[in-house]
Amino acid sequence: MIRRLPLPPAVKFSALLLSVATVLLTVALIVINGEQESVQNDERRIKQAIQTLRIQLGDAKKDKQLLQDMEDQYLSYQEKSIDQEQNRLAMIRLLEELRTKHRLTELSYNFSAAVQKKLEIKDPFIRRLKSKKIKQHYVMETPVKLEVGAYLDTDVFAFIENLRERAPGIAVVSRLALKATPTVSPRTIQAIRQGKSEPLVEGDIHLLWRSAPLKKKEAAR
Amino acid sequence: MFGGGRSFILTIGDEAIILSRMAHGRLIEAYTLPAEPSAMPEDILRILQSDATAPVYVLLDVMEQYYKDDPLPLVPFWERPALIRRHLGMAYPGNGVKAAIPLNKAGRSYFHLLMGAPETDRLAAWFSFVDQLTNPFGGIYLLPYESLGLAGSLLPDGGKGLTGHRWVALIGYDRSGGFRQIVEKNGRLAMSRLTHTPLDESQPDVCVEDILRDFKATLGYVRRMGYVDQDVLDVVIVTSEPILAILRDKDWREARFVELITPEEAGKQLNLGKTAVPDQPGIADLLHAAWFGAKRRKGQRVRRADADPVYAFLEMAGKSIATITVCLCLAATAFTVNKAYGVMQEKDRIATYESEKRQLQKDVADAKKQSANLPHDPTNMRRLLALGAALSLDAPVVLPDLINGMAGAFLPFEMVVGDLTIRTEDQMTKKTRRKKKKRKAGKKSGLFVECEALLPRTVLEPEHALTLAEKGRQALTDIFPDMTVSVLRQPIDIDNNRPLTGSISGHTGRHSTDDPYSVLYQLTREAAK
Repeated sequence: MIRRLPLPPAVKFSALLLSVATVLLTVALIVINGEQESVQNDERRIKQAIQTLRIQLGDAKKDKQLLQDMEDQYLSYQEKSIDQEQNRLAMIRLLEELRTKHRLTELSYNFSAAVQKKLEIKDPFIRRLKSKKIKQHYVMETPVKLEVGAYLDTDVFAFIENLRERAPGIAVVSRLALKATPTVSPRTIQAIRQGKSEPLVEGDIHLLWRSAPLKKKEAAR
Repeated sequence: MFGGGRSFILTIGDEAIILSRMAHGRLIEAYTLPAEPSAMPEDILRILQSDATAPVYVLLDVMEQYYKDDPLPLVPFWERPALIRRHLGMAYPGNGVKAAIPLNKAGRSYFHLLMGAPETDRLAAWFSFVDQLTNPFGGIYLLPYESLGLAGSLLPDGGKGLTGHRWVALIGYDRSGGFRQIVEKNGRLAMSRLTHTPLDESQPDVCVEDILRDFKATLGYVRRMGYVDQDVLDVVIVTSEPILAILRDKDWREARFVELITPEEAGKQLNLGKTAVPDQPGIADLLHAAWFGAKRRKGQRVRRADADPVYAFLEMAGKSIATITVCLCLAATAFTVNKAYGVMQEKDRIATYESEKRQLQKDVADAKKQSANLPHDPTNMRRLLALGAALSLDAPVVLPDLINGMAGAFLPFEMVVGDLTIRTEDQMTKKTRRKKKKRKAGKKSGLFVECEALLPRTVLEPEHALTLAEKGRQALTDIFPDMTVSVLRQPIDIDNNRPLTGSISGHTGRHSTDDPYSVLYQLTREAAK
């Protein structure tokens, strides 16, 4: 009986509307959800790409600025041939020149045997430079002891500074000891007048002379 | 839903039963059936079964029909079916077909039109016959109520611009019932009368007299129901042409319009199909049936006392269900639209991101190009700079800065630098070296400086020498804030825990001018952690 009864018009309308709306909205929601998922994936991907690009841009700008700022330093390193084998003869010639230039009364040197060390690359500044090629180099370090004598301590200081600037490779002053003569006697003044070497200041200078030549394997290549 | 616009209308009257067949809003054929369903001819059953998806509607044209305006109290919609059932039961006790139609709200009451008809044995038999058919059951309807609007649609004027009420009377002969009059007031059923006066077309004068007499009686009823002179009355008489010809000559001063029309003409005018009975052209049964069948929305179905309560509830709560459904659909649509709008906005954002990405890609390319255009090979620059940095990692503070700092510190006090020792951590004690081994590689070494300052020979008082020594320490601290400055040896050893020897000559307490005061400072900087 109930099966054969048609529904009241309002209920029929409701059922029809509900059915149509359910079908249409379900289809719409499926489509929209799919589209939303796709859009969200795209958004995530593009945001990551933008983030990476921003980092790259910042790095590129910093790199450019860094290279511009460090140009003088680069030229200095280039001039000092820090990536070459150490040349003791050139170093001795430089010491001779500087002794005369800075009026040192005494200068004696003692080069120890060079030792090979691994290059330290964990420094943040070195990491920032992002140079993969530095791994092809090693550190050659030669401890050098200098004994100097001078009339003035400022001459010693200028000598050291000049040596640091011009030495082939990198010269790191690890120790400096200056001893001033407590009193200047008439005998000392007399000796100076006669042109004798009579230092008023005596000093010990310990240098670590370093360069970073290519590893033999790399050099052969 | 009901078989492509096809349906059967079973008009049940006291005098005859007529089955009308509708297709697409037009009556296509009609059959007069026997009074009892048990005597139903086979061919009629076959006709019904031949179109088993077409619903069968029952249209009651019996004499006993009741209509009553009834005020119901305002109750929630779920309580309304029970209340209406109770009122219907009180108004029309006993078995029968009943229904209530909501009319209007007045004060705290809701007026309903209660209508019904008693269920006689004959009607029950017909209902049972319809139940047994395989066709869908369309419901039971009352002819007077369902024919509302039929008269109005045959009139040329719809009654617009009237100040009073508009009454419309539809008068016609039904084979199933008799002489049927339906009176509407403003489109609502006002009254309906049925007199068992058969149509005798062979005596049109008699019929006209019957019509005029009954119309006069009806007019009396109408007046008692509130008809006044300001109201208008339109009359539609549907019967055969000979009768209409006589009626045209009559005086119809009570009526504003009188439309005299045959069933066939009415059917043609309303495009209802074959509404004329071939053997009796004045009969209006088929016109009523066709009008009812052509309506897409039927008027009001009446329920039998044993009708399905679920259907009754659905019928009563239909509007509420529809309202809730519409609200649900609107909410779901709003949700979907909002979601779609969100997706559109996300797409817009992505377009912005894409634009930003393109700009960034261009900027990055430009920046890299600029780096590549530097006067030196960037790769080589990086290599040499990195090597230089690696080789200078543990270099102590720049020597000139230190020396100038020292000199600057002593300048105001006319001191000079005496002995000076500078060493990095590598030259420290074994104990310190062991500590260093524990430190991670790549850290800067500590720095150790010892400096003897010689005070001017003019300084003779030990208090003055101590004051200058302290000022020198303070000055060194200011110049080298990252280093710890301490005095290792004062100009005069005033530490009570150590021995002190000296000689005093000349003025008491004066120091010898040949042996100037000196101070030994120590500057240390811990290795960076």
